[in-house]
Amino acid sequence: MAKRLLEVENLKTYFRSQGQVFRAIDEVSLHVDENETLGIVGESGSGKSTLGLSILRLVPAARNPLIAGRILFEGRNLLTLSEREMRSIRGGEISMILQDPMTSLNPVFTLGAQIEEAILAHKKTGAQNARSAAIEALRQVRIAAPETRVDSYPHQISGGMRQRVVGAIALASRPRLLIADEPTTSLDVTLQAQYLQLLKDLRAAHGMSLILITHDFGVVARMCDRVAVMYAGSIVETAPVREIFHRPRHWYTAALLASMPKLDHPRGHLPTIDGAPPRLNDLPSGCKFAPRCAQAQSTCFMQMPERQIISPGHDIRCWYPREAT
Amino acid sequence: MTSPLIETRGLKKHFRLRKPLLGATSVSVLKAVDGVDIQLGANETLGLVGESGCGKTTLGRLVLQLETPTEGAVMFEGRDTASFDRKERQGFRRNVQPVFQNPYSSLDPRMTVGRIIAEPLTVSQKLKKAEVAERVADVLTATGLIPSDAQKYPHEFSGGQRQRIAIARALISRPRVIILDEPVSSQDISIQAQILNLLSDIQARMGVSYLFVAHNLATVRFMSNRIAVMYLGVVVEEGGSDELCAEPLHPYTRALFSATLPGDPDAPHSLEALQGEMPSPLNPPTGCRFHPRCPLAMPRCKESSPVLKPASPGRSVACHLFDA
Repeated sequence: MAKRLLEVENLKTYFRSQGQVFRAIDEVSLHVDENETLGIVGESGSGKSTLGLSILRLVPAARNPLIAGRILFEGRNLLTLSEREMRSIRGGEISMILQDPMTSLNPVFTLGAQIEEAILAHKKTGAQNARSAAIEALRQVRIAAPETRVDSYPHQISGGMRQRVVGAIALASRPRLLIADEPTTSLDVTLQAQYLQLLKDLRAAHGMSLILITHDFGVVARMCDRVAVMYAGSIVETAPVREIFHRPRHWYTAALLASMPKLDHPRGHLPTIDGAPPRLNDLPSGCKFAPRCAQAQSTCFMQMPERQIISPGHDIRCWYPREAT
Repeated sequence: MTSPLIETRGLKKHFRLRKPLLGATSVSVLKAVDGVDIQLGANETLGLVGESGCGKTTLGRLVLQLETPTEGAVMFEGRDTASFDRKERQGFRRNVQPVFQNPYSSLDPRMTVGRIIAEPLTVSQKLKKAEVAERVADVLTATGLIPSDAQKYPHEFSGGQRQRIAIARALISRPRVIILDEPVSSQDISIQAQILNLLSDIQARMGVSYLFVAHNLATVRFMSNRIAVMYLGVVVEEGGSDELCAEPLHPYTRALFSATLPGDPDAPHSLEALQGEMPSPLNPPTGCRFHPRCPLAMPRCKESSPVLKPASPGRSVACHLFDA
């Protein structure tokens, strides 16, 4: 049986601002096994990025967060570690790639210096070794002529290359888990295809696990083993990727999939989800999706459905699940 | 034959970029649009698709007269827009309206929604106050908002509702053409479908034509009767949307299709469709602009640049493979 690497139990991340509470993450539970890619998919404001930041305890303190629950990484609860212990995990055993490669690289340092910094933070080694490791890291992310590129500055390379350098920094310490938050959203389709293939190859070569945060079901279909669908701070459905696409049991998942234009779709009308997601400081008292759900009944408006397992590896939060067709 | 509503002939836009260089200035020329012929008929949608930097937005701005062409012409109902006098120009602006990508920056936060929507009318037509209010209420209803929204300010609306306001503003002068530049790419998936349906409904009801500029093939496919694919300032392929999607001919179009991820884990798909990145439009390759990345490039592709010509009925391709 696959070994469990990360287990999140009942995670809550609330923000307090001007006397109001924003429930950005609301009782989220999930797990990631070794050598597995978990997709976290949702619309903007669903809490998917906050979830990634919460795992690494990188939620900005300025937002006045309140975090509760358990985040077990190889059996250790990250929420109870000291800041010093946490620093060795961040960028060491767990790395993160953010969406915008323009802001995640420092413009005044060479690519080599930035990769070496990541290496030296977690490993006692000489400057010469760090430099050759940096060149190797660039070669791994398929940067041509890494021996000369290592001395380039971020503005001297293209956007596609910058995102690969961000990947090289994240992977330099050989993490067990990589969290990639919308890694290809700023890239064009042909570059996106190249980058996703690279991520896939590196994940397999390093034997690491990947949490891929995205709003794009196309990326999910191509990359993930399992998928968690988020809505207004909660995971409404978790299932193996084929189940999500072919037998979604939550009405939100099904409606979202149906509303995407497809390449083999003729012109006409798209099925839509009426309304907009709720505000996080004013969530409905029952199921958060009920006000937009075509199937909602009175129970749905009164009580939040518990997480229930409906088939092996498939769980949902819904009072009246869709039939498995 | 009647002339198309909008037609571009050999349209070019070159930007001259000046850079100070040791006391002197070096001038380089960025060929954003470099010889484009497109036609847009009545009650039709032409999709303009390509990756960032291909010139699709500049082409839209040229048609809107927000940029002056370096060469070539934009024709409206068969007449060159460059020859228009003041009055004709006003009429043109009433008839050709824009909707931009980001409804957060395209709506003035200090104006009420009613004033924002009425602005195209107040600058070009002398209408009575009551008439203006009535037309504002009409377009608000047509875009799924309510007449009383006219009193509110943009910050009171969500992103999807703001895009509806932008569409209402484009509709108020009863235009014949709307240039839609990435109208849904800043929206969430569940909101995108709402806006796309709204645009289809408006077209069916009012018979307006769309130039739909976007990078997402599936969205363009859903909206368009015909599609033009752009690469580095030129159109490389054009045709009916069903035919083009069923059998893309140009190697770049084919690469775009194979790089577009299907929403199905079991769909056949090759991720690594295309090597390299789009070259800088400051220094485009010689010959066919696509040849350095083309898997089927031949020696002549380096030397001579292919022109867009008919490959089959209703279908044009700019590629030496179809020169026969």
